Amino acid sequence: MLLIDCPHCGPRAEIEFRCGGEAHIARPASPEETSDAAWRDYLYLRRSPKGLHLERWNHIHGCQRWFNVARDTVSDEILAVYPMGSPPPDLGRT
Amino acid sequence: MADHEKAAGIELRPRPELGKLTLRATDEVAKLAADVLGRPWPAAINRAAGEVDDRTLRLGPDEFLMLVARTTVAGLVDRLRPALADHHHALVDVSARLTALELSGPMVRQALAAACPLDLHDSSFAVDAATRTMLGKAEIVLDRLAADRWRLAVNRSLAPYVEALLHEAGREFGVRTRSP
Amino acid sequence: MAENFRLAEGGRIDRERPLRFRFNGMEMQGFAGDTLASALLANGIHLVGRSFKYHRPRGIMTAGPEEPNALLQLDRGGGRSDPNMRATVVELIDGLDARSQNHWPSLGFDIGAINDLLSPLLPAGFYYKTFKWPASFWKSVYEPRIRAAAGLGVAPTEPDPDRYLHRHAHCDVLVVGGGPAGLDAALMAGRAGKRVILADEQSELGGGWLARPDVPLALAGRLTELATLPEVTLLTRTTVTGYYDHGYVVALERVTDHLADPDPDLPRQRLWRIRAREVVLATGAIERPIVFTGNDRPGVMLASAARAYLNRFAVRPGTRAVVFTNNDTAYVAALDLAARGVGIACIVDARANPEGAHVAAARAAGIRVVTNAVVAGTEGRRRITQAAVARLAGDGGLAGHLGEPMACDLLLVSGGWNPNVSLFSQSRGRLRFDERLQAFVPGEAVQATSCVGACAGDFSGFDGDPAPLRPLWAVPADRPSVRAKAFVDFQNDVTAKDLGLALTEGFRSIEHVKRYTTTGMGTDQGKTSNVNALALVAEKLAKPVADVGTTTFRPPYVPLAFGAIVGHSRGALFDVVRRTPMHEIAAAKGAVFEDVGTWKRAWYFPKPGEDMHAAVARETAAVRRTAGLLDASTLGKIDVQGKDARTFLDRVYTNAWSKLAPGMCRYGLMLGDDGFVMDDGVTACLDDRHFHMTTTTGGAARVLAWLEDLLQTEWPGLEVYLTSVTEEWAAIAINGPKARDVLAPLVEGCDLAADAFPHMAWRPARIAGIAGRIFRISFTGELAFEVNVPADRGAEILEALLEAGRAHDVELYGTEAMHVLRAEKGFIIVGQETDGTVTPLDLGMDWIIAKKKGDFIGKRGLTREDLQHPDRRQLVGLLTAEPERVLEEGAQLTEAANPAVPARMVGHVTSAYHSPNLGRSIALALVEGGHGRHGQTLHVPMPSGQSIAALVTKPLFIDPEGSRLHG
Repeated sequence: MLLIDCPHCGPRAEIEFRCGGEAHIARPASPEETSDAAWRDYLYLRRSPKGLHLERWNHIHGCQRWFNVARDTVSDEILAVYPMGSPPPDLGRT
Repeated sequence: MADHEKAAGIELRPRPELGKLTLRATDEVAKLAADVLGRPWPAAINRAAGEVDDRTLRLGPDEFLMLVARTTVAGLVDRLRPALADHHHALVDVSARLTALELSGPMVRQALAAACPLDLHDSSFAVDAATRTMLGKAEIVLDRLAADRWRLAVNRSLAPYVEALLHEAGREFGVRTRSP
Repeated sequence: MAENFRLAEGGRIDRERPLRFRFNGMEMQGFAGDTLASALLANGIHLVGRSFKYHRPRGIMTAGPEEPNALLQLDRGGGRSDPNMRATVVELIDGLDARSQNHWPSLGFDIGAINDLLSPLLPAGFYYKTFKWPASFWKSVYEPRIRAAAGLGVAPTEPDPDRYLHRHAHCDVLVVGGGPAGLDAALMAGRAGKRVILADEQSELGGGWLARPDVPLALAGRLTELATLPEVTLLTRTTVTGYYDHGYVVALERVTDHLADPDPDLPRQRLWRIRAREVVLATGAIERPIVFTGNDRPGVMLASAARAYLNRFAVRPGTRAVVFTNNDTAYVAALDLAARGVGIACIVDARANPEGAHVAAARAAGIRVVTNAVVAGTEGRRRITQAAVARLAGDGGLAGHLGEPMACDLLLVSGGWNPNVSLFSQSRGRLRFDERLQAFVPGEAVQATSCVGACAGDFSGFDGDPAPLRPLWAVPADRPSVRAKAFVDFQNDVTAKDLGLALTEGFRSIEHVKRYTTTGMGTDQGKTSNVNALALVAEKLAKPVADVGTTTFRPPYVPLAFGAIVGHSRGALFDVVRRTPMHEIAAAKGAVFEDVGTWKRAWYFPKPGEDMHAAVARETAAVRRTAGLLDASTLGKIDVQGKDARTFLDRVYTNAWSKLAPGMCRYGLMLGDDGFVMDDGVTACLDDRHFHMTTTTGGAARVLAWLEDLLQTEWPGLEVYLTSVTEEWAAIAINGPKARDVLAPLVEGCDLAADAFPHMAWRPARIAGIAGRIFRISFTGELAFEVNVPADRGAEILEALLEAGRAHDVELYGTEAMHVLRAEKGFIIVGQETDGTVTPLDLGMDWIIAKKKGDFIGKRGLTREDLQHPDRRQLVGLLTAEPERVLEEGAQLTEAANPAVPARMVGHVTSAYHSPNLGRSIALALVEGGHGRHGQTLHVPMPSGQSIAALVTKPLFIDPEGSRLHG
C-alpha cells in the first residue's frame, strides 16, 4: 500500500486516494478542429512506461484535491508530488 | 464464565442535536465569514477551531464544516447569506445528511486502529486535529475534541455500519453506548 | 504414552503445568511451553506424516516455521479444523487434538505408498505428459481422482466461528526478530526516544539464545529495559509475513491460539498493518539440509533443531546419533547432545581438514570424527536405523564405503546456513551471493531497510561459525538406482533427479525449473530447499550460483488463515449496507428489498398470498389507476453553486441550460467525452447561480467525482462549487391520476393546480408542516410530484402520505413496478439500456442534443465516424407474437427463426416485463439499424431449440401523446 504525500494533508495511505491515470493529457482546445484519430488518441491512448510515469491522483477520502505525482512504475518510488496544472519538476531522468 | 461488566474502554454517544453546515470558500472569504459570525476559524487544513459543540473544521483548502447546535443553523445561514452574497461561495445545510457520533475513553484509538489507516499518535493527531479519512469501508470525518474524546461525522446511511464496526473493534476493550 | 524422551531437568518448559493432548487418537502428555513437535518427540514420536507424492514416512526435521514435513491437522472443536499446521510452531495447549495427514488407511500403513514404488512413472512434471487419453476420462476419471489425491490436509467444512481483527500501527522503527541482534536494535532506537515495534514469531523473545543450554542473563536485562521505554511495543507470537511498498509491513499476531479457554471478546488472531519509517530485519538464518540418498527418513533432523529440542524443551530426540555436516555449527549440537546422554556414533565431516575449537572439543570428548566423508545412504522405513558413510573421491564422486553402515536412530544434518532474506527480498532489496558463507546475503536495499545479525551474514553471535564450510550441494549417488531418492524439497517430494530432468528437458531459468518441478512451491515456500535447488542447478550447468539467482520471494512468509486476511469484513460487516430513512416503514409493509449498489431499495410489496409477479402487476396497475408512492431517496443529488453554474451545466450536459428559469427543471443527459451515455437525471434551477442536480442511484458518487475532476483539472477558472446532498434529502414520488388529490391537502404555501404548477417546475413548500421542495417530474408518464424533505423527516412524510392516500386507494410501489412503468413509456435507464457504448442517437434521443450550443463533453465524440453509422445498435420496442411470453433480458436477437450455427446476432434485449396496463409483455432492445426496422419480425433463439418471434416497434407502448402527464 503506497504512502502518498498529499500536498495538503501530508503522507496518507493509498486507500484514501484514487489514481486518475496519466497526467498532462490536455483536452484538445478546439475539439471541432481535431481529427478522429487525434480524438481517439486523447480518449484512449496512454503510455505504459517501465520507469518514470507522471500521473494524476485525487485525495478522494481526504481533502478531495487533485494533484500530480511522478512515480517509478518499477520500484513504486514516488519521485515528486506537484500541483495540478503545474509542469513536472526536473527529475534528471526521462 | 463469570458474568461481569467489562470496564468500558470506549463509550459511544450519538449527537443528533448537532447541526452541520458546509462552507466552500477561499481563505479570504472564509475569514470574512468567520468575522461576520465572530467565530474562531481554523487557519490550517485538517484542523478544528472553537468549542466542542460550536466548532469549525477545515477539511481542505476551500472546504469548511461547521458543527453547531441544530437550532442555530438557520440563524447562521441568515447572517452569512447577505455577507457572502457577492463572494464566490457555497453554504449548504447538511444537518440531515451527516450523523455525529462521539467516542470517548482510553481505548478509542486502538478501536479506531482496527479499521482506520491514520496515525493517531499524539505526535501526528493532536487535540483539534480533524480530517476526512476512511473507517473500514465508510468515509468519515474524524475530529479530536480532547485527549480521550473523539467525534466522527458520517453520512447517515453509513452510521449503522460504523457503529457495528466500532462495537466489533472495541469488543475486547468493552464498549458502552450512551443514549443521546 | 509416557514421555520417555523428556530430560529430568532443564529446558524452558513449565513442569508445574502438565498438559494432555491427542495425536491420531492416542492420549499423550506434554508441558506448557512445549510445541506440538517437542511434545511428540518427548513421547518418542518421530513419524508424523506421509509425503505429498510418494507417501513416504516423514518425521520432524526442524524446530521452526521452515518445517516441511510435520504438517498436522488440528481440531480445535466447534468446527475449527486447521490443515497443514506446522507442529514445530503450534504451541501445546490442554486438550489439543492433532492428526497426521495424507495417508489411508493409517499413518503406519498407507496404501498411497504404492506411489513410492511407482516413482519411475511419477517424476517431476509427469502430469504434463499424461492424462491425455481417452478424452472422455478427463471429467469422469482423471479429474475426480486427481482432486482426491491433491493436497495434504483436509479443508474445514464449517464456517470459521472465530473472530479476527486488523490493527493499523505506525512507528519510526520496526524491528523484525527478537533475538539478540533484534533486541539490541530495538534498545538502541528505544533509548533514542523513537517509536519502536519489535515483532517476534516465538512465544518468548530471545531468538537463538533460547536454544543454548544456559540462556544469557543479558536477555532478562534487555527485556527489563525495553519494558521501561513507553514508545516501545513488544509483540510476541507475531510473525511478520509481508514487506510491501513504502515501509508497509504486515504481521500476524496469534492472540489466543495458545489459550485453552480464551476470553471470547478477544480476536483469535490480529493482522497488524504497520507503516514504518525504517525497518530493521533481524530474522536470523535457517540451517540447510544436505541432499543425499535417503535424506528424508523420520529421525533425520537439522542439527540446530536437535539442539533446540534438547536445550529449550528438555527433549532427547534419539538415543544414538550420526552427525553429518560440512561446517562447525553441528559440532556444538553434537557436544550438547553428548553432554545430556545421547550417544554420538560419529561426526561425518565433508571437509578434508576441519580445525578449530569445536572440532577439538569433540575429539577431546571422545567423539569419533571422520573427515572428507559423507553419508551415502540410509535405511529404516518408519524410523532411520542406519547410515552408510563413504569417503569423497578427488573427482567429486565417492571413494568407497567406510566399513559397515552405522546403527543410529537419529541423523543430524548441517549443510551450512542461509541468512533469512525473505523479507529483505520482498522489500525489493537485491541479494548477493557470499562465497565464504556459500549463501545469499542482503545486498543493496531499495527501501529504508537494514539487516543485522545472522540474516545480514553476521554470524559473530552464533555458537560455532558456519564458515569455513565445504560446499556440498548434493552427495554423489552411490549405486545409481532408479528408486534411490535424494530429496531437495521435502514438502513437494522433489528429488535431485527431478532437477536434472528439468535441465535435460531444456529448462534453464530457475523460475522455470521451479515451476516444472514444483520445488519451493509448498506451504514452506522452499525455506529449506530453495538454495540447495538453485545451487544444484548451477552445479549441473557449470555456472556460478550467483548467475542462476533466486526465484522471487513473495508474501505471505507463512500461511495465513483467510479469517485473518478478512478481519472484521465478513457477515454483517462484509460491506456497508445503506438504508433510506423510510426503510423501516417499507419493511413493516412487507417489502422485499433488492440491492442497488450498496443501497437496499424496496423491490416490491407482496400482500399475503402474492408472489412477485402478482405484487408487481398490482402495483403497476394501481399507479395508472389511482396513484402510487415510491421511495426515490437513493438517487444522487448534487448542489451546484456559483456564477458559472449555468456555463458548467452547459458543458457537462448535452442540452442547453442558459435559459432554464428559476423554479423550473430540465432532464439532462451526461455523456463521456467518447460520446457515450454516462448518466442522466433532472436538474432544477433554484436561482441563477444555484442548481439542484440529480443523478442515478448507482452513478451518484462517480458523477460527483467526475464533475469535481473537471472543475479542478480542466476548468479551474470556473466559479462553481459542488456539494453532495444525496443524503440530506429524503425523496418520495407520487405518481398517478390521483397524485394531486393525495398531496394537495398536505401542502401549505404552494398551489398544486396545473396552471400554477406546470410540469417540470419545482416549488418550495411545507408538506405536513415540514419545510421542503416539491418537483413536478414524472418517470411513469403519469401526473406526478416528487416531495423532498430533510432526510430525518422522511419517515414522517411517508406516513402522512400513506394516511392521505388511504382515501384514494394509493399503493406503495417498488423498483420493479417503477421499471415496468417507465418501460411502458420507453424511458431509458442508464446501465440497463446503456452499457457505456450507447450514444443518444442510438437511443433515438436526438432531441436532447443542443444544436446551437458550444462545446460540451461528448460533442466531439459524437461526431466520430463510427458513432454516426446507420447500422449501430439502436433502441427499439419488441412485442412478442405470443403476448403472454416475456423475453429474457440479455437474450440475443436473430433475423432468421432458426438460424444455422454460428448464428448472426443483430441485437439483444435490454429490458423485458409483463405489462398489466397493456395486458401483455413488452420489451426494449438494442438492434442493428433498429430505427429502420419498425414492423419487422425478429427472433429470440432459446436453449430449448424453439425461438420466440417478436415484432419490432417504436419504444413507446402507452399514451404516445403524453396526455396522462396532465392528470
